[in-house]
Amino acid sequence: MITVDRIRKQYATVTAVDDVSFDVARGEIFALLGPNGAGKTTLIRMLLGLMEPDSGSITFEGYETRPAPHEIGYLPEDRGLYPDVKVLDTLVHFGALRGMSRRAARDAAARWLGRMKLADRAGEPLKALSKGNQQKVQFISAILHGPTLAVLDEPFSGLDPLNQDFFLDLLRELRDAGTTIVLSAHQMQLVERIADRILVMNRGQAVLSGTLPAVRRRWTTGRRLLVTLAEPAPASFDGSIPGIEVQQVADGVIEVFVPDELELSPVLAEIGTRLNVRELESHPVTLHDVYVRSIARHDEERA
Amino acid sequence: MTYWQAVQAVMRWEFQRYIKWKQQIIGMLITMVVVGAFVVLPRLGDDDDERVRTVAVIGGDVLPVTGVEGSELAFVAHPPSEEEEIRRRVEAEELDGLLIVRSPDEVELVVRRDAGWAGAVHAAITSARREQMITRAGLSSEQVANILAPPALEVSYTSAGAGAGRSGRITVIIVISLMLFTVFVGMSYIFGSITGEKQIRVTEQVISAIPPQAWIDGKILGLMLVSIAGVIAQVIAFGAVFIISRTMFGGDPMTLPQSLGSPGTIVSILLFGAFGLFFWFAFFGAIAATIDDPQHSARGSFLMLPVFATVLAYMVPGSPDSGLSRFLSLFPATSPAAMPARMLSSDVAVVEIALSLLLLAGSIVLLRTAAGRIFRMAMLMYGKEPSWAEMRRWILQK
Repeated sequence: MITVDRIRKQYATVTAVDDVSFDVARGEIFALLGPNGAGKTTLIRMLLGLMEPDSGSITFEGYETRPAPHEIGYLPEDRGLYPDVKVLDTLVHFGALRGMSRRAARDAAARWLGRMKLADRAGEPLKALSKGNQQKVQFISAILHGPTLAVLDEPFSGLDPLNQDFFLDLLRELRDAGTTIVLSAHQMQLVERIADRILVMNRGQAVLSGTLPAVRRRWTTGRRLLVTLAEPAPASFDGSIPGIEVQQVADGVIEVFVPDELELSPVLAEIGTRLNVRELESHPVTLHDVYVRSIARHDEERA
Repeated sequence: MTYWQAVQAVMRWEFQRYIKWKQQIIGMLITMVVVGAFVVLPRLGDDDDERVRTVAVIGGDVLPVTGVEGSELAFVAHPPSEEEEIRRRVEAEELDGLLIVRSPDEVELVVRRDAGWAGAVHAAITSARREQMITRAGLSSEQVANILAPPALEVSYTSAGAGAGRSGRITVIIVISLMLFTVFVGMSYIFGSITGEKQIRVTEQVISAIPPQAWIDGKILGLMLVSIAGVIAQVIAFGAVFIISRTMFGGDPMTLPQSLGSPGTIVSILLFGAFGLFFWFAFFGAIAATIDDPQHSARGSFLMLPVFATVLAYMVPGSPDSGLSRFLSLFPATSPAAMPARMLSSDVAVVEIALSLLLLAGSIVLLRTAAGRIFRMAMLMYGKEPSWAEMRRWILQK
């Protein structure tokens, strides 16, 4: 559906997006990942036509013309609805801006508010709602008109775990109904549960892309050990065993990556000799691990 | 969704967001109370001023003082022997004053405290002294009246639209003041609406749905309607007080200037008003979109520019056909107020009115486009204000 080909966007002092290419297929959930300042929001703004790339191209179904506003839904990173305006009036207005008749917008808004358990709050100003409920209203404003492409920048922000799960179901439902979803998020465990494909960005560049199984296969070359210590590890421990990567994840807890080329037994023996180990766990590589390691490696390469 | 449907959706939204009928009615009532107080209170004071003042006169035989026409003074003659007693009565406020005439050129007025009617006493003394001098000179009252009477001067006009006189000048002042008031009201609405939307970060969601030009056009039209509704409400409040005060206290009849009898003039004035508001609202929109923090931005001062340009029109009625007035009535920034002022003060050629409207319409097209381009870029800029060079570049970019 969307083909992004070698786009680039330069601000005064920084290259926000640098030679990035990817495709998004119709009816899939495509996740954009990356640390703050990686260029995700600039990329999304270019997808929506809010700004143009300096070079490269973005095509939709083979055409450079962007879909009509009623075909796109957008949940911006900077949350913004009118705090003093009633929830229902706000939704009807945004539906009207996307080309709905006011009656259709009102009916759809009432339906969605009911699904979100906010029907009884329709007549209240937005500012009277909690942050999570405001996020629900913001989400409704993005998909009220039934877009074919929904671009959601941080859709899980401000939601409690139950509502995060509810949103995951909603996103799956939209995808199953044929809506293409491009989302950016920092909650790796949620992205892992929903995304069909991901693109990891760092410093404006594409670091990693593909389906989740493919990405995992590429990065699951090694073992991840979570070591809980009875005493803090001495500073001299980091780097003392050649070939392994060590990260402090909490007080008294370290994470040890052991590459495939190293035998595990000598490493475990070495850890047992040097540290006072209380507990040792082996974990599969998560998207979080892939993300952190791919960003770290990219930073090293850039340095 | 067509461009105009988007404009209409925004216009409707802005109007409904900012028009507060309850507040409008409260504002009208407050205006009526305040203006009513200004009208009624001086009248209540007049009642006290119109009370008959009783002034004792000692030495009335030296200069026979009587009340002059229109003043509420009663002079009562007393012998000099009663001076002490009368002074006591003045102190006790049983009498308003004591007039001691020592000679026609030396008169003393004794009052308890500062008296606003002392001027009327002075006029009575002056009149009495003049009568005395006339009698001594052997002139009759008619002869004196003839000497003092000013010659009659009738002003006639060669221009058909001229000579509206006092009512014409008042109408001009009302028209310019309404324009100024609407600009003021609109300035606050546009400024609040745009900087507010930037601060609540609603801009991306709107711009992803409709073209920025449709957004600013709808915003301008919606807030113009809100401003005009606010001004009409205030005019109704003023008008109600005016009618009530006329009914209660009477007053000189008001006549509209002859030029306002022409439908063409009325339509032209309304067109200048509408075009002028759009012109300045587009200017407000462009400036407000560049402001990041309304509390600390120096750009807010630019919003006073339209006020200055409108105030200049007050100079027009004094010399409506001078070179300066002609320039002000053609220059797009000043013509919305200056041309109606000229039309109400003089006979302006149709070609001049048409040229002025054409220049104003052309300027609106350019300013609206420039404002739309600045708005498009500046509304997505947070944390800093664009430089003048950046804005110039945006205006020149399609």
